[in-house]
Amino acid sequence: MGIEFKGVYYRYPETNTDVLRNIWLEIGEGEAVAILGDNGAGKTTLIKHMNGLLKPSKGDVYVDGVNTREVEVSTLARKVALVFQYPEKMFFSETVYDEVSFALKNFGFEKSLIPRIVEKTLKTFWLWEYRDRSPYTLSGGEQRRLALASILSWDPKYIVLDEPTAGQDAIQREILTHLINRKIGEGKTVILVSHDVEFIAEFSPRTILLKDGEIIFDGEADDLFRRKDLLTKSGLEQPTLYQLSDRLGLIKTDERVTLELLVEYIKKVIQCTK
Amino acid sequence: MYKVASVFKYRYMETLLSKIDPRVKILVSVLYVFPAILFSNMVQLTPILIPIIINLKAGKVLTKYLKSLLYLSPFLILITLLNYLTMGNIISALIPILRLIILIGALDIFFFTTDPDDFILTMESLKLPLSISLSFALALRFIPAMIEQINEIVEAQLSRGLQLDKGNFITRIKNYIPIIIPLVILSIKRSIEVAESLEIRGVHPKATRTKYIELRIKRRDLAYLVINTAIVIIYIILFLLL
Repeated sequence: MGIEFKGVYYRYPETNTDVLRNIWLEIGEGEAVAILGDNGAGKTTLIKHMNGLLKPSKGDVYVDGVNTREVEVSTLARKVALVFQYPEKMFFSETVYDEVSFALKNFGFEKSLIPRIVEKTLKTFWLWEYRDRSPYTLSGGEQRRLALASILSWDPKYIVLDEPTAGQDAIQREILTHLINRKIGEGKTVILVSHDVEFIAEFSPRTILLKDGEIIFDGEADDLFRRKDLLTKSGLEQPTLYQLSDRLGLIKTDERVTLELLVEYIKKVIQCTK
Repeated sequence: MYKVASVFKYRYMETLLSKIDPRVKILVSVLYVFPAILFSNMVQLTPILIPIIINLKAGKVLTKYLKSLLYLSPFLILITLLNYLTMGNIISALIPILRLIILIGALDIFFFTTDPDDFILTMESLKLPLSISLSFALALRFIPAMIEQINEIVEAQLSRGLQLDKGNFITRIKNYIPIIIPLVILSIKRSIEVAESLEIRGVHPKATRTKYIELRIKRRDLAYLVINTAIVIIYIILFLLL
């Protein structure tokens, strides 16, 4: 069924410009989607419509065929998990363990099931050994993982991540890539909102580019990353791989730009010059 | 919550009142409080609202004042009700509310039309120590940031299945724990950050400070003060005689 936007406009109260303009979008089940755009393009506003935190000023949003106007956020949140930017800001429990069980209790999971789910989730996110510590004593990377764990614990069908890599080092990014890939592999719909083109390039999902509240590109990430003009217009840079292939004149080929492709090419050139 | 808090957010508007010296404004605000204390019946109290409303209108903050009263209305109704139950007379039950409305209006002449930056200058000119005036100004300054933060936390917790309006009275209060704890923690963190960044930029609480902007009473300020003082004095004399 998926998530559907039908002619959505949105305007924040007490302002007079539309943050979202005429959005038509369909995200199918099991799809991996990246939403790119510069600051103020409307990315966060767009995803807040997916679990009903915001209701469109005009048009409708449907989640699995249900209009978001007709259900409460808590009902939609069970299906659509939204992880905000810097999600570690919302911790309030005494222990890591309680932080993860909070949502499970809210969603009315059976009491006997909760310990098992929490244990499984914490182990998946490499946090089991910290279960009795206060969330605020964890390192930045661990906190980000805990925030993800506390949201993914209830196994939502749709996972929406807002800037998951913001303020994270290379190792944490790799761990995040691994965890997200795993969710995609499980057949979950993963929607990534990011500035981080390098991070997006690792998944090469379907990519949506927003500019001033409008969708100006919807297609393969590989296609978008070749379009320097569109990226520059949105204040984004090409991923390093694409920059390099652009300079080498490789970008015009039909083949997908990958590290392997580049290495192959460079090896050939070196052999030729020898 | 977001809506309520945004009413108190300061927005600069080019009006007569925004240009008046803040010290004069605070004096005028206090002047209008006197009749509210002095008088104790409807006939004597109600007309003082007229000059207050004119002042608020001149500062283009009348709607803001009315909105703030609207948000306070459940509280005001509750007080009236309790008063009525103890006194058994609706008119005397309404008097404290009227006083409160006048008080809020009078003080809003100052609070709604003065830039938080001018607060610091006002308080310094009243010879309050910097630690007090600065903390007060910072507290006001952070109201908009705080509103945004509350909003962010509420959205994050709703996304984790929290239902704020579920359950009986006690549960409803408990529902706010996941909002309040992160808010307090973030505020403490931010206060430390602010203190550090102030120090980085050379603010020393004990050093002698020179002033960048000095408040000077102009003719316009005096005129404003004289007119309002005259109104209040005439008003008091008139209604004392009546």
